[in-house]
Amino acid sequence: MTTSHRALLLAGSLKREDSSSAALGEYLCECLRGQGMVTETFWLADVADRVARWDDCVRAVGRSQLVLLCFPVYADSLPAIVIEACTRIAAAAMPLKRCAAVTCAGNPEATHCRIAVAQCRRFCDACGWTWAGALAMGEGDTIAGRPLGSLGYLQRHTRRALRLAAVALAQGGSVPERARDAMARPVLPVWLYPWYAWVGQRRMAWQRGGARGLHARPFMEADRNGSNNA
Amino acid sequence: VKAVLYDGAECADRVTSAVARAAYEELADIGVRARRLCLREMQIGWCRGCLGCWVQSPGLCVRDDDAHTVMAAYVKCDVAVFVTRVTFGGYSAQAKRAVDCLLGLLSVTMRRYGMQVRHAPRYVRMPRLLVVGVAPVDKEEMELFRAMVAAQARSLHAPRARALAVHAPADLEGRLPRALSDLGVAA
Repeated sequence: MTTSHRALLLAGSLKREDSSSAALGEYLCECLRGQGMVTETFWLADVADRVARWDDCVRAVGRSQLVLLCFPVYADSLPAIVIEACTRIAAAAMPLKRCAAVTCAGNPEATHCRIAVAQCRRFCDACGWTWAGALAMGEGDTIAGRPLGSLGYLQRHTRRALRLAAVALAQGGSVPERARDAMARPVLPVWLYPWYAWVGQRRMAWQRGGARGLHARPFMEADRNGSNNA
Repeated sequence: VKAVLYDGAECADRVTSAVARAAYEELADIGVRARRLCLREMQIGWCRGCLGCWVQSPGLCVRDDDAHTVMAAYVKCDVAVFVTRVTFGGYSAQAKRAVDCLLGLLSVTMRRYGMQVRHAPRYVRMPRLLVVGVAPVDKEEMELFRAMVAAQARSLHAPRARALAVHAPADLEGRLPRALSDLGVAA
């Protein structure tokens, strides 16, 4: 039985549809819709780009019974804009909701998401809401913003994790342990991922003009030239 | 000893602001040459995760704002001191904007360090890290804050790191020099 009919995906990546975390969130929403839930997505990028206001974000949260925080991990914790959103939502003192998180890190191990997930739980406690668990994965570059459905065999565990989580969340439960485990399972061997990421970033560097000075130390160079950037 | 103090107080947060001022004065008292960066008065955009600081203008944020000041100050000091209100066990949004800028101080290359694979440092020498957390709600939140600082120190290759919890400026008295001494920074 579906107990929470409306879910809000709070997408914290400012890369919007090009982001890996948003691809995870969108797939989870697709699965939740398959379970009879109504989903809505609020892009924090809209606030950053001044297309929407923080009030719109708080109102969107107010309309839903299930809040899904979806974000990339920056510097081992929540991105600044997600912290800002959480602070504003907590200050709005909304009635009881359920909250879950979906996140990915650019490093190979899902353990890089541990602190950010714990922060989400603190946010949930601060709001007085029910924590419904989190799904975290490493190797975010293996998604690179592409829809999960198009990624075939490589992301089969990720899709299975999200499907399992959607069933549990739609029934009013928490993210099951086997979903968490499937999500945390490395897509590529940990030894291979740095090479995979390096090749992708090298290609990006050629496209975006930074390939020649990938290892530049601009502030040290400024020191040597006698100027002061600081 | 050169220190940079990142004042991460939000506009209306007088306590954190007062703690940052007290920390700055305490640093001066013990003979540390400190520079104070008041983050709320700076123009620092949200990190967009575009990786431009790796693949477009390596080592520099592609935004034309104060991110460069934040990065340059960090890489040129001996100890970086962040003052922030503890928010859900981590930084406030204001302070985290500055921390998110520091991604460009890492290299695009990943290497194994102990049990984890992380990005290598772009610069040979990275500063020590001291994070002053203001008003944690409970012990559990402070534990999470400490774990966050430890993880950040690993990611940013800080040789040593400490997290301090305070509730008022007076709580800093005597503790800041001790923390600096723990970090191996002698004034």
